[in-house]
Amino acid sequence: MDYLGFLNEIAKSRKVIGYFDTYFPEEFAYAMGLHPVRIMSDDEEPVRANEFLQGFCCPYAKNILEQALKKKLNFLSAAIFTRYCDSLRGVYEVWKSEKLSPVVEFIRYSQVVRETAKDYLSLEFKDVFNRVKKALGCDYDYDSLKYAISKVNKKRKALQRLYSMRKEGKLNISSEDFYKTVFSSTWKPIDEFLKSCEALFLRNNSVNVNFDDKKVVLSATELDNLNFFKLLDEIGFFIVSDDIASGTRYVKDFVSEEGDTLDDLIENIALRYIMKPPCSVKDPSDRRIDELIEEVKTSGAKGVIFFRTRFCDSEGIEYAFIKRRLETEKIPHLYIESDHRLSNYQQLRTRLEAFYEQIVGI
Amino acid sequence: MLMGKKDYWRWSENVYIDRNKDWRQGEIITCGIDVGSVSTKAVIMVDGSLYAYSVIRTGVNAQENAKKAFFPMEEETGIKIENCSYIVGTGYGRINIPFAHKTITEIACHGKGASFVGGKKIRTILDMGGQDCKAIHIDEEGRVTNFLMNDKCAAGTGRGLELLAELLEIPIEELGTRSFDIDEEPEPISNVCVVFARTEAYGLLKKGWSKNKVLAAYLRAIAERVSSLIMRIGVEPEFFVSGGISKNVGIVKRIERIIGLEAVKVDIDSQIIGALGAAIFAKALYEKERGII
Repeated sequence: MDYLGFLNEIAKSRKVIGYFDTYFPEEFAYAMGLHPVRIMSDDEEPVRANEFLQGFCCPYAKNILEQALKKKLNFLSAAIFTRYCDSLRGVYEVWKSEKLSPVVEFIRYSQVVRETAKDYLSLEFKDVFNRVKKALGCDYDYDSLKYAISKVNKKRKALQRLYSMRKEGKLNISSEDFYKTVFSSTWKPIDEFLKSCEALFLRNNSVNVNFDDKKVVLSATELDNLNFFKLLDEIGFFIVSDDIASGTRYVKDFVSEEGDTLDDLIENIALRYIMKPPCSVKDPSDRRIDELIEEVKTSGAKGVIFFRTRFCDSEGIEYAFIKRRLETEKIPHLYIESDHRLSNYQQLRTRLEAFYEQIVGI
Repeated sequence: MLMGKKDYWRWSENVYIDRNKDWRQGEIITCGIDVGSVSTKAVIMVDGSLYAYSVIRTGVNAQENAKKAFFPMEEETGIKIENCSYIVGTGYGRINIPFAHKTITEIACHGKGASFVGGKKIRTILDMGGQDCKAIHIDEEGRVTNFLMNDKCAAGTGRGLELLAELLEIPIEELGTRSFDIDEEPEPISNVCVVFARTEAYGLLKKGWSKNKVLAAYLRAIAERVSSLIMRIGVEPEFFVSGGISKNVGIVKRIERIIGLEAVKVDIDSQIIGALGAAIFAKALYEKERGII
């Protein structure tokens, strides 16, 4: 069953809550017995979304709005946005005014990556999820939140194992299949996801593959079009690691399970989401760049492919810093710009093939 | 189209044969075919040296373009596709060459071709093609070490120049030289977008500017835009310009002025550099497959 079909089915037995970026603290949703799901882009061309958003808005933001306006996301009981970027904030406003979900909420994040933001974000989480509780008739307490934290940590642990195996050459699957698995962690029920990971671990328990000269690290933020990974496979690349927002940046860092009170647990969640590997809209974002370089060095990758979502200004600015660091470290890299539909597919293909020829040879 | 109307955009197709060579005497005959968005180029090399080439306009039938580009050489020398030991396809239409043994990107092929004709000191290449523009860095073997590509707009591309030729009713092959036939270099036009530039050019003509002055302003704007691509990747001597627009002295000289570096000139049609690079790769790949080297 496809992703939307699966979610429509799930929605028959429990309330589904949609989110759009990995700053959404899914632990709260699980604690309330809801099913959180990251809304992925599809190949819809924005038509209705253009009534509300400018042509130069983020194509991902426009796409998810288009899906909602076309009633593809009617299975959602709630949509929760975070203060991620201006485009998604714009989508939130439209979503709310057009009543595209029964409940629409917005978590106002601080933009700073600093522990001092923890108290503020804890209060913000409490406010938002109190409203969600009332609106959806559900609740969470110390025990349910602690259990949810532990479940999400288990999911992240399994994902970390997947990434380690890939780096060590102990996972012989294509980039497309690898990312299909990784991204499914943001919409499949956790137990089901863990089961599929176990099956994968078992199938690959004696694998040893060597993709040395074809290894690259992928740097991107919003990127969930599996056709892009298929293209990379076809060309011959082996994506050994990434810093995609719903890739390693989603996987790294656990929420501490320590704490005697509900407030302690909420603070733990707040701290993890403030300090997690940042997106380019956050400040400072050095950790992302440091870890990208680290990924290249520890994985033995031959280069980096930097995928910028078209019109994403913050990613464009971040790229300038990433480029400088990569050049200093003498790491070859390729900058490409596209959207969720890969509308410049042939041009992308030429650039990627040329980069492959550059680092692997002809 | 009205009867008798001149197509100012139409550039001449051509074929070249080295009459001092006989392909039948060669051991390894390789071919490179570069199917570009505007022109298709085919090059034949005999034992690693240039024997023949042909340049035609790219037609709508993707699979036929490569054959059509080969045909003028066949007509002149009797050589057939089957006589080629190895064929490499390149260019945006490379996947539509049914008889190619391998495809390689035009970026790698321009690198190899430029190094072959311009010498081992070539480090920076500017390839100005029909619908995109690339700045490429290569090493002494002609291997690509970095590249940047602009494929977002038609400014600085062959298609843009074709539109300009039509607009000003100046034959495309005269655009470059005529752009210097002015009293004083004008400021560049502010809009390099070929669609909006038409409006601006009309406005300037109405204001009384001569066609040559409008042309100079337009070519200067293109040169500035393209130069920024080269400067982004870094200008490292020696510098080489390939692709169809490399024949436009009005753009090339202005680029040289902006980046402060003269391009290496060679006695060969610089439009065929990509196809030439493909033919060079073809020889290396043939030899590798046969264990010759």
